[in-house]
Amino acid sequence: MISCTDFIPAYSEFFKFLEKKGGKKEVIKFWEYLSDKYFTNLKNLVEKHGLKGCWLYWSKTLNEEAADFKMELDENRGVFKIIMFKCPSKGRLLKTKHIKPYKDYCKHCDILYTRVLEPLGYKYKIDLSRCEKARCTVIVQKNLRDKKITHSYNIKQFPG
Amino acid sequence: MAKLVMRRKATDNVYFHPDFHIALNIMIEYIEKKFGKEDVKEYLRQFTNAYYKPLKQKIKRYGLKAIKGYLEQLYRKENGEIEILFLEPESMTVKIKRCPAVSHIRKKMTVADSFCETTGTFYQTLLEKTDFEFELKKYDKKTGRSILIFRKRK
Repeated sequence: MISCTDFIPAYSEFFKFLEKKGGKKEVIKFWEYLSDKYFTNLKNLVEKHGLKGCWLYWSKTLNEEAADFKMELDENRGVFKIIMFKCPSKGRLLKTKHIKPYKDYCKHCDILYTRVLEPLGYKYKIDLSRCEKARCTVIVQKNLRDKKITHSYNIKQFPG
Repeated sequence: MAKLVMRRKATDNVYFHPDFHIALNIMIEYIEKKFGKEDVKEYLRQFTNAYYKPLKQKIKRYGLKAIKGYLEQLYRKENGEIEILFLEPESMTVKIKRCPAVSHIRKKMTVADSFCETTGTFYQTLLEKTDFEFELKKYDKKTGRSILIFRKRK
């Protein structure tokens, strides 16, 4: 048995394995498959609770992963955001000096969550410019086509 | 409608996310279906050789004691149940009575046929280029209950 606490390096090595098999497109195919088939928990929560579904989903996962983060839900403004001060996944990979993280490791979040949230009418934005320090910012917003929402958030307003 | 704020530091929680067993199962199933069972082994060998290098070094230095320590810590942390027996000289038998990974996966999905390789191929690779060898004596795919033997090479 491989410990669930060793999963992150297994995940990173898996992306390298797939890239070796068929290039970057093979890695992206897997992220799309994973999102479409297995992220039903987030999908169901957002379908049932709206933006609060994001709050409920990440409350569980980020606490179980012992992340260092700030999370905010403002239902009046239709915005949910996560400011990740230290991502437990990337942080773990950076801390493990004898392995090198997959070069586009952090991009999996973008594909996984965008594919779940955008068909439900939400815009998912992630700023990965500081991901080499295990920091990022995520904003989920109701689609601007919803007339009640008048302000589009600039992700750079919330530096992690 | 409410405005909610949550601030957590890494030290506020224990790092333990059992759904990662499910994620690993999904990956194993994906390779198995897309590339075949041999590729599951190839992936696990790549991962084991890359990530468990420090453990392999410990095994080279301390032998069975290092494997025993690793297994005890692993199953304690994961809330599994094992029994370790020394039935022969320079040999260690480990009975996995409750496998936390398989138990958790089964709550939500079918266990991939090649999931057993996370035991078989994993320990075989871990012991390559050491004085020890591994035998997977028994493995029940439904429960993960198994008998593992670690012994000195002849």
